[in-house]
Amino acid sequence: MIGKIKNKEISVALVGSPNSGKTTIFNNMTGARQHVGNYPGVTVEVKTGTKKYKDYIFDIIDLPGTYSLTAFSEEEVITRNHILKEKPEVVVNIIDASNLERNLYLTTQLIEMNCKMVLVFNMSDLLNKSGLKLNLELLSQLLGAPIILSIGTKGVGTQEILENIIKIYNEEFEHKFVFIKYGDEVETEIKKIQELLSKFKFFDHESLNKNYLRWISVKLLENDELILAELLQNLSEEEKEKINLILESSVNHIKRITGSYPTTLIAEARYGFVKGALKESTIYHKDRELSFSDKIDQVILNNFIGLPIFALIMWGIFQLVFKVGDYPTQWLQLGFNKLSELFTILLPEGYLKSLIIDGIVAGVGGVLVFTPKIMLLFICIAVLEDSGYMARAAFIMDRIMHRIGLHGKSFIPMLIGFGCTVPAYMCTRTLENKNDRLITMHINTFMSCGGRLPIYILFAGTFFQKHAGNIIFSIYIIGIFMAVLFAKFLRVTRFKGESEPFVMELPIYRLPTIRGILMHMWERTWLYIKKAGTIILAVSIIIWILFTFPSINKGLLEEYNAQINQIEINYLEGKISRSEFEKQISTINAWLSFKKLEYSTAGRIGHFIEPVFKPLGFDWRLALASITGMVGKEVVVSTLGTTFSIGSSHNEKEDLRLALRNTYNLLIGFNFMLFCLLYFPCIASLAVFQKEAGTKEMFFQVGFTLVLAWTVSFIVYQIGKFFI
Amino acid sequence: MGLNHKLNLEFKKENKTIINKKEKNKEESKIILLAHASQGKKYKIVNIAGGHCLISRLNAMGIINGDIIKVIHQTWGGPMTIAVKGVRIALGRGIAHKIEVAEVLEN
Repeated sequence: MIGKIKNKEISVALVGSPNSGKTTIFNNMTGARQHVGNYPGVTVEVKTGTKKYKDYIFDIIDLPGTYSLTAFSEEEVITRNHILKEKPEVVVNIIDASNLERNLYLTTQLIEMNCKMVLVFNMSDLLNKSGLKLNLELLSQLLGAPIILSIGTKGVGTQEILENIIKIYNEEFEHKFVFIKYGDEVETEIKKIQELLSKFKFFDHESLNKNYLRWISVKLLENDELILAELLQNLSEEEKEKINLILESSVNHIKRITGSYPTTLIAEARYGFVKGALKESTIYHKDRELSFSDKIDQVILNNFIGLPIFALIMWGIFQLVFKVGDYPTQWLQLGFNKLSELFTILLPEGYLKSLIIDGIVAGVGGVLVFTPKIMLLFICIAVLEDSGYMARAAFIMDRIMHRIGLHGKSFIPMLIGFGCTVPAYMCTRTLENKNDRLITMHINTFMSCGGRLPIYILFAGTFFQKHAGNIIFSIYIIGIFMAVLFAKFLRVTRFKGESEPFVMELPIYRLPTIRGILMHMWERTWLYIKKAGTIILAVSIIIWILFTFPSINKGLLEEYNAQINQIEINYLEGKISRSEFEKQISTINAWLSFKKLEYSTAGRIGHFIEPVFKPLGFDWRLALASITGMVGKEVVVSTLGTTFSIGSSHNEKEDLRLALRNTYNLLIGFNFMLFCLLYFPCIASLAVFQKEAGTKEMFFQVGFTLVLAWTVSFIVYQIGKFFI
Repeated sequence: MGLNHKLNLEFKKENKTIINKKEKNKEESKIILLAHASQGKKYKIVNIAGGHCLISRLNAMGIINGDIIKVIHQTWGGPMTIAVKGVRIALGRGIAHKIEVAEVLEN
């Protein structure tokens, strides 16, 4: 034996309400050793991570934030099923200490499931400020789990959490089942159902916990359709009939006596339990009136200035991203240019050199130079999220969103859509109503994502110089306008019906931490960089191949060489001047490049589809860029980069902007931005769309955005022609 | 179990006071819809007229029969915010029309 004792593994699940600071605690516990991925089988994002501490390895999963463990949203179901089926050895329940009563509601449901728990009262500094003093030891006894005070943003309490997990794992903390009573009427019916269940064959094995049967009975009374469906699967016909009968009679009985649904009574009892426990352990309590947060809200949610403030914040973000973000982008561009020059010197002439310079550096580099701007955008979104303003934005937008048949909550995925459409689609899961969700997903494509940004920066910068910022802003506004129009359109045509009611917590304003923001930003930026390193690298190589092969035939090359020779001879013999010589050389070079492109696969494809794009004012190069842009909008810029750097001669490598300015006019530039805005973002987003909404909806998305993009661009070009 | 037993008793007592207060309030103030409540005033939730799903969701957010809420922000025709259990919650017009409340008169 080589000495070391094997580390013990403990599986840990983090559970908590949204805004409880769960993710911060998770980050504190795992540090950098984490992984973002989809929960197996579904597309809800969960984070997992590991932590080595003492002789233990903690396998930690950060389950989605939920207010309760019913079955009304996917997040709730995942959290519940993870606890039920994966049976984590320790559940860490993160609780916002500044509003215990509401947060402990979730805790009661974990207690009902008989979880081995550690309770973390996060943001405990706020607890003292709120004027509440608690006897934590007593409260811990009442809730049947150790309580740890933490301040996630300052990293306070992390070690104690780990220590306590070990204690629970080693059964040093006496675990006892805390019984929550739901009142006589409900209890009687629970007993009846429980008794019936225990007679069923399915539940007839010894290992089964009596508490589990009670839990199922409570869930059945709560009208939990998932639990019922799962149960019915395992029952015989006769048993099914029995259970349906008893449920109906129980619910009716309770309703007749108390006048309320069992759901309400059970919820009331849970809150009653929490209230009682808090009352019991409160040492003193002083009411707090208008808090600081409320004061800010008086301004930010104001009927008159709320909306202007929101617009101002949005405008500020755009200015910051485009003006400030321009400097690092230029530095990066310079870096890539130098890299290109370096390869020009180092590598021998030939296909490899061309592949690296024109294919990889131009393609991937063309996308990577926009990273600083995208980082800035993600930082801004993270600040809005972490400070609590995002929820206020939803509130402010609710009235407007209501007009188009959606509600304020739909606005958040749309805001995230400005960063990237893929997480935006995932974020629509917070909308419980299916029609609301589908509309929000379909119109999300009009929220200009980070991938489209490079196109705007390139074209607006080229054709509008000083006004670039305002033009880009206008493109975003047009996108929002389109989204509004189509939300309305889809609501009256395809997805009829009322929108879902709007209920949403407005978290207390918090000063975001730099660490939290950087982590959020980096998670999302990394996806962008990863995309550049994988999909876009692959596409760049493919595009390069398309642009390079088949190469021109020998005859043409000989003709070229002969003409070069002739010009050189003419110059040496003094027939033409120096400037005439250079002019002729560059003409012949341009001619060769043009022939090369015409000959290549890409050139042929471009010319083949050009007629479709001609009415929009696009030549074959823009047509080709639109096609490759389906892979990812970032590719549009890199395709154009490749087109023009191969298209022009090697010796005098033209700046892409200059090339664009020489080839197209202002109208075409604007129209192309519009076209790119309107058609679907990328293949990756379609894959997510398909997963979230099904194949039929995905094809609808593809069809309707392509038709729309073409039609709008057609109209703009045909009308604009008369003015420019 | 001693403590828990005591807790449950506590809860029953609480329930009774809620019922008592309900009756008292009926005499003092009339029941209105939350949508028509005025900013800055406190109300007691009397009834939520909605289906299973809505009630369950509101309960999870802390909005439950018998609770005292305060209208923090009222807009014309738009959403509103209320304070309940120390949390601020934004409610759409639709929901605000489904919640029946009675004003709590402070001495």
